[in-house]
This record gives sequence, C-alpha cells and structure tokens, in this order.
Amino acid sequence: MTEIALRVENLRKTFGNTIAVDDISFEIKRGEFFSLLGPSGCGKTTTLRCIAGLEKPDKGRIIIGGEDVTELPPQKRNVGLVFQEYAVFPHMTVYENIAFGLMIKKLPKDEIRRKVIEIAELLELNPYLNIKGAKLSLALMQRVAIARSIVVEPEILLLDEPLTLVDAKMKESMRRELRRYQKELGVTILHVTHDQLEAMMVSDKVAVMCQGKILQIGTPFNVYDNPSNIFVAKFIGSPTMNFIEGRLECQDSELLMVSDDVRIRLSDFPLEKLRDYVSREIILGVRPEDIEISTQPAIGSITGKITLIETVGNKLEITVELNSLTLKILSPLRADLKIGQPIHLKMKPGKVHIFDKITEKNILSEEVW
Amino acid sequence: MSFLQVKGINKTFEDKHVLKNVSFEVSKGELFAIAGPPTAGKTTLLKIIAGLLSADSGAIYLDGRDISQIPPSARDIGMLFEIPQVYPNLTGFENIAFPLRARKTPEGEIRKEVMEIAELLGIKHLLDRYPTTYSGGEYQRVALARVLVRRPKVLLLDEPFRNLDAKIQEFMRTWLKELQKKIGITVIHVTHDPIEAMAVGDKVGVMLKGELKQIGQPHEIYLRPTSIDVAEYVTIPAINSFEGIVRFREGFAEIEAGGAFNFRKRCERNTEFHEKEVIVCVRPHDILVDTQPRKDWTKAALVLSQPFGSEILLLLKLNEEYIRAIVDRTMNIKEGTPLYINIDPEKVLIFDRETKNIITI
Amino acid sequence: MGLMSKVLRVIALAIFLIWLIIPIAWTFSLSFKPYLEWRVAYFWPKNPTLLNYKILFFYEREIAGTTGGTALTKPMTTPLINTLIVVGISTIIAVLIGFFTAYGASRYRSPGPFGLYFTLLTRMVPPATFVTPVLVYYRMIGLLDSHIGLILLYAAATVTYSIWIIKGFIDHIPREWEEAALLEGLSPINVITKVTLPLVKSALVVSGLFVFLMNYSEFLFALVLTTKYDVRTLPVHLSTYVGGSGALYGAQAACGIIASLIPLVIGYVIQKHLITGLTFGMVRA
Repeated sequence: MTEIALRVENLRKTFGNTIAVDDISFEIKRGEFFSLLGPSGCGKTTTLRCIAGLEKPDKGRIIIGGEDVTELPPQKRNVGLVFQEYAVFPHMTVYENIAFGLMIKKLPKDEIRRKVIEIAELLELNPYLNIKGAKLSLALMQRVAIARSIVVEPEILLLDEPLTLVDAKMKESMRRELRRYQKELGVTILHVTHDQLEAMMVSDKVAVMCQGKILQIGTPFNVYDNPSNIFVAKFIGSPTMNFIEGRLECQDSELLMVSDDVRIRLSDFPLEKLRDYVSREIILGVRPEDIEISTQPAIGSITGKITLIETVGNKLEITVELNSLTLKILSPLRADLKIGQPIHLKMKPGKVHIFDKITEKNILSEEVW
Repeated sequence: MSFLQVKGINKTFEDKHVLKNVSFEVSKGELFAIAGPPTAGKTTLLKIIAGLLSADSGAIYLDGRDISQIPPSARDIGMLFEIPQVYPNLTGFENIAFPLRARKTPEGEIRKEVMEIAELLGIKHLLDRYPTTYSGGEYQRVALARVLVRRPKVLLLDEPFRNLDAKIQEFMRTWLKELQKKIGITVIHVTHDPIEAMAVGDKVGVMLKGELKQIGQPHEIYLRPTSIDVAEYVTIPAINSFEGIVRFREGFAEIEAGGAFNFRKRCERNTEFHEKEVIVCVRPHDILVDTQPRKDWTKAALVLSQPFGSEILLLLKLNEEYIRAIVDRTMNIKEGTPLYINIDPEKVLIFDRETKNIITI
Repeated sequence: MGLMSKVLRVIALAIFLIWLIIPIAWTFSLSFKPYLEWRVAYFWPKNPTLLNYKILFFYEREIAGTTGGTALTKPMTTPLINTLIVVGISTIIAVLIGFFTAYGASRYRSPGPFGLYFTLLTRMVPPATFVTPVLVYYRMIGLLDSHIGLILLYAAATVTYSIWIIKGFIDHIPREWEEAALLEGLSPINVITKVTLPLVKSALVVSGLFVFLMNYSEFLFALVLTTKYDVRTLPVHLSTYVGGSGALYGAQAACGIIASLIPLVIGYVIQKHLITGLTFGMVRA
C-alpha cells in the first residue's frame, strides 16, 4: 500500500456552460481525514462524484492507491461511498448490511463472519447486529453505513455531507464519534461539507473551495490562523471575521491602517516586508475573539460605542459601532457592560490580517494559490 | 393580558400524547424562540396556533380575543413552513401575490403591497424570476415576503433555516432578527438547535416530549436550567453528567460524583438532601484543564482533541467516565501526555435523580 | 471499455432498432403497393400507387373494379371521428377522476384492507374475461352501439393507470404548500385545483397520453359492442377492409399509417409538457 491514498491531478468538469470543477489538484495521505469545504455550488460534491466514478471528468487524472482509475467504473475503483441518507438497507439486519459488500465479492462465509464481527467490535455495533436497518436511530445508521463501506477495505472512504440531515444535538456527538472511529481504524477519508465548524472538528486537512477552485489547503488551525485570502478568512470561523477597509500608511517608521472611520496601528507588522504596500488600498481582518476590550483607554486603542450585547453560551457577543463601522467582539462573560457605553478596543498582537483590496489575497501569505 | 396567550394546549395523535398542557405568553413585538429535538411537538404546536390542526383542549387568545375556534385564514396569523411555500411554477411576484389574490384584492393594490414588501426584504430582483433560479437564502426570503405581505399580527416560523448552508444560516439569523425589530412583529421561532434559539430569542422555551419544560431569558436557560433534561438539551457540546450522592459532614456538603471525582463546598446541613441520590452536571466550558499537575487536581487521559473555532474540544477519560472539556487555543495539547482537571463547585449543577429537577445546595 | 465490446454494443443496438422499425417501414411501403404487389417479398413497390389511400376516403362503388374483385369499403372519416370522440372523452374522464382519486389517496388513508391497491383489480384479469358480461349488460341497459357505452368502458378500464401515475407526483408535493394556501384563505377545493393541480400538470399530461394510447388501439370491446358503421371506431373499421379474395392489405396498411399520425402529432405537441415541471426546483442550499 502506498503512502498517498488519493491524488487528484488537474481535475476539470463542466456542465453545459458552467464550470463546476476548475482545474484542481490535491493529494490525501493514507490515514488522513481530508475535508473539501465550501458553500453550495462550489464544486465539492462534483469533485467527490468524479473521484467515485459517478461523473466523468472532462480533463484530469484520479489516482487511487497508486493506480490511475480515471477510466475505471465506480465498482472497480476500490472506494467506499456514504451518502447523506446513509443507504442502510431497512429490511436487512445490521449484520447483513455490513456483510453485503463481502457477499458480493463471494468471500467464504466464515471469513465474512470474522470481518464483520471485527468491524462491529471496533465501531461498537455488537449489541445491534440482529436489529433490522429500519429500526435504527440516525446515529447508528451512520455507523452501520460506515462499517459497511470500510469492511471491504477500500483505499479511501468518501463521505458526501454525512451530517447535513442530522439535528443540532446529534450532530455534535456524531462529529466526535466519526473522528474517534476514523483515528482508531486509520481509515483514509475524503469528506465534503459546507459547515466550516464540522470541517475543523474532524479533519487533519481542509481544502477550502469556491466556484470550482481550491483556494487554500491546510490543517484546521492553519486555515483558521493564516487564511490566504478574504474568502477563506470570511468563510472560516464563527462569528465571521471583522473587515475594515482602508489604506496602508507609514508614519514615523510605523505602519498604520487609515480610513475615514479609524486609524489603527500595525505595530507587529514588519516594515521591510510591507514597504512596497504603503499607500495601497488594503482590507484589515480581525476575528471577534482577537479584539480586546477595556473600559479604560490605552495606547493604540480605538474607541467605539456598544450597540448590542448578546449572551452566547459562556461568552458575550458585543456589537460596537465606530463612526460607520460595525464590529463584532467575542469576550468572556462580564457584568459591567451596558448598551450605549463607550468601549476601547485593541487588536491582539499577531492576530491581525491584511488583505490586498484588489487581489483579496493575504499580503503576508506564503502560499501561492 | 399579553398579546398572544396560549393556555393548556393538549393534543393526542393515535394514542400518542403529543402536546401536554402547553402554556405560554408572548408580548407584542417579542421574539419567542422554542427549541426542542425533532418530534418534540413543535410543529404540531405551531399548526394548532395557526388553526391548521385543532387541539383536544386549551385556548388561544390573540390581542384580547379568543381565536381557538376561528378558521385559520381569519386568525391574522402567518406561518413560514419548514418547506417554504414557494411554488416553482410561479414567479417571485406571483408567489408573493398569491395570498392577496386568494382574497380577491384589487390588482393595483396587489402590485403596491408586493413591491413594498419586496423592497423591505431586499428581493425586488427576484420578482420576475422563477424559484428554480434562487439561492437558498433568497428562497427563504421570498417565502417570508409571501407570509408578511398580508401583515399578520403574529409570525410563526417553523425551522426557517433548516435547509441552508451553515454560513448562510449565520447571516439569516442576524438579518431576520434585525427585520423583526424593524417592523416590530410578534414572532414564534421554532428550531431544533438550542444555540439558534438562544441567539435569536428575546425569550426562549425548551420543549421536550410535548412539554414546555422551561421558559426564560436565553442566558437563564443556559446558566440556570431547572431540570436535567433541559440542561442536557441546551448544552452543546454535550454536558458532562455523573450519578452521585450528596452528604453533609462538618459544615461541608460533600458531593461524590460517580467515581470520577469528589468535591465539597461549605454550606449548612440540609437534612432533606442528606444521602440524596443526585446527578451531577458540569458544562464542558466549566472544566478547568492544565497540562501540569496541580494540587488536588485529578489526572485524566486524553482520548481526542478537536479544533472548535477559537477553542479546542477535548474528550478525556477518567476512570471509566468520558469527560468533555473546552479549552483555549493557547493551551498546548499533545497526544499521549496526561492532563489534569479540576472543577469549580460553584459551577456545578446538581439535579435530583428521581424528580430530575435542580437542587440548590 | 475495450473496442470490441463497444462494437458489439453498437451492433446489438442496431439489430434491435432494425427489428423495431421493420414492421412500421413495411407497412409504410405496403400502403403504396398496388393489389398485385400486396403479397410480394420485396420491399419497395415496383408500381407505387395512391389507390390504397383513395379507398380510405371513398365508397366502394367508385373503385370496385380496380381492386381485383368486389370490395365493400366505407370511408374512414366517420370511424376516425368516432375514435377521437370516444378515446378523447374517455381520456379526459380517466385523467380527471384519476387526479381527484390520487389526491385523496395521497393525502388521506385509503379504507379497507387493500386500500388503493383495490383499484388494480380491473387490470389483473385478461380483458377478454369481461366481454360476455359487458355485452349482455350493455344490451340490457341499451348501451350497445353508442359512444357513451364505449366512453364509460374505456374510462373505467384505464383510470387505474392515471390514478397511480398521478399519485406518485402528488406524493412529492409538500403538504406544507397546501397548508400555506389554506392559511391564506383558499377553500380546500380551491387548494386542490389552484395549488396542487398546476404543480402536477406534467403528471396529467403523461397519464393522459398513456391512457389515450391504450384506448386508441382498443379492438376487442369496440368490435363486440358496436355493430353499426356510424359508431364504429378506427381499429374495428380497419378490420373491415376485406374483399372477396381476402383482406385488402394495402388499404389496411394505408389506414394504419394515417391512424398512427394522430398520436404522433399529439405527442409532438405536448412533449414540452412532458419535460418541463418534472423537477420541482426545491433549492437545496
């Protein structure tokens, strides 16, 4: 078995005049949980279907386990596929469901039994082996669907938005289970979702897609801390990142962002690197949890007025207005804030992102996308 | 008397008691959010309020009058259904005009009303197009326009964001809340997501198995749940709960939580609760975690760590119990290294194991 | 896939296509063959003629001598009109009753142990089983040789299909859309006709076409239940093209060709309806 479970090279797929997948390439290592993340219509499901063999790409290659499968039909590609509806046969028992793929391969009965019991053990399905599919809860169905796909030992397991139809409470525990079982079994997974929190929670690597292109690939923390462009910065993280438009200025060897509403010191940005950017239009991005608030002004702080305070779990979501700017701030619970109160804000060092207004790229980003 | 009063609604479907004595009040201009798992009875409740279903017993008062027997179309209530009422064979304009045409409103007035509501909701560009060309959020907004064009007194929303992308849900929540405040309409917003309910609601109700278990302000529901069912439902990630016993000894209350840990707090002896069987609950946020051993802190094994926005969600194992904890990103969590946990007794919720209600010690 | 299997596939498809088209093509060429060529083995007529088509529209007196024997034929115009009336009206009835029944079956529970499956009874037995009873019964109530008799029979026989086709579509219309209309003030019957019906238009068209085609070529009952030329339908009329020396194959072929034009035209006109509206445009965000 090779190190790279899946490699996609220059994949392209159009439907009529629409380019669904626009020349994308990526690879997934064995045992990795890889997520394609993006809004509806970004091409992630089409990509998954091309890899599964359910769609024929216009251009590009798909290499699974070292073998070029681009011309092969789905059943010859050695991939597992779990749909949104899980496709668990309602009239068969859990045992029969899991054994299904093995029976098609005409394996001897005792070997089938052995493999099914092994997987059932790992996924904690033993108590349910004799229950009919129709009687299972959604969470159990997901496990059975996964067990069924991995018992045939595919090179890679493809999950198409597996948690979209699940309610909020269940989603939370299923994300945990999914990640646990994946790690324990060492299954390679390609997972497609529109939910950024989900992608962050379960993945080793996340590829953010938009309009058929991959904008950035990285670990969840990577993509969260170093978004390479505005789309990624906006899409990842909830509440959404705050954006302020302005111009990069240099005053007394210090970098500033200047706009009609506000002047912000950018003391932790390297002047040498950004010298070329001075006087250019930029967009400053900072996450709600990266803005520190204080009732007392400090050096370098900007002042605004609190317009809304919402309690979200154990945090406060504070909306602050500053001339024509509206900023959202996430702060630990405190009782001393009131609507209408002036509040002083400071960005946490190292947590400010600067994007070129025209290219929308992160000007300090190392990656070339 | 409140603007909308729902009293003692009961409903049974084929031997299943779907709604059990549901009562609540909503003030004019308030957004009342009801959260509950699927099959809790939320949609049935909305349909009864709208008049599409009849209750077995109970009454509904709107703006002073009893509407329990009035037919649905005369109640002045609008409802946005879980599958939004946007007909694919009609344009946006025709969809929004539908209720007005049903009432035989004159053509000129129809045009005026539709344009007005389209302006308010920012969907003028959708009027000439067919729904197949709409995005998820646009679809919802057209359906909402159709409901609001008749200027109902009360707006019922049945899981309005169910089918939308996560990011769009975020946007729509704020948009809807702002719109609601702008036009001052009274809303009942029903959802399976407790976080959504607590984010949008002026007042939140938790509905479990046909009963409205608790009603209160969002932070009240979250911080002071009155029963364990509510606590378990509204806490995401899942709350940690252990079976335990309370004992009183020498000016302290000692709480033994299911083999996982013990703690004590200073308090007077309360005979009623001595030797009481309880369920001890701690929210993941309230579990203190450190990578270094500390006095009186308990050692736990790390099973799984998952990035959780600006935080990290940890799954720990202590003896045979699983514990979920949330820590800040700055903590350096490495697989294989032991972690140490502690709990502030003040943050613990204790519930009577029998009655399931909260106990204050 | 290999080149070999691709070639084999194409050949298999070609054979199948030819097998389908040959009878139609032969009928077409037969309709232009003169009497002497009706029983030949070659395809194209050596002396093509329009005489067969003439036979369809004129009385026998005018062309008796030229067909190689006496022939008693009557113009096909009246049977054609009869067919259009009988089949057209019975289709409309079948579709309308089908729609309302389907609506009831979809939205409410069907009574009895079988529920809606009860409606399948009429199609479970070979139609010929009913010939004698229907004949006797129609004679008793005076429905022999009438349009109404055939219309009622055809509608009853094919309503099953329209119920099941339409029900499948109605099942996919979210009930919420009807409830919304109720809330907006529409009466229940208006909800059915103004909300549900437009949404399942294509189901009505599909089942209408299906029912039409079934009844259009119905022969057995039409033959048994009509004796007079005035009420005869096209399939029966076609079978009357028989002369002293046997069947008038040429005329039958010509009649068949003209008869098949009708459904062809109908199908062409409604094909737009067959395609549009099959997806509901539910945007999955």
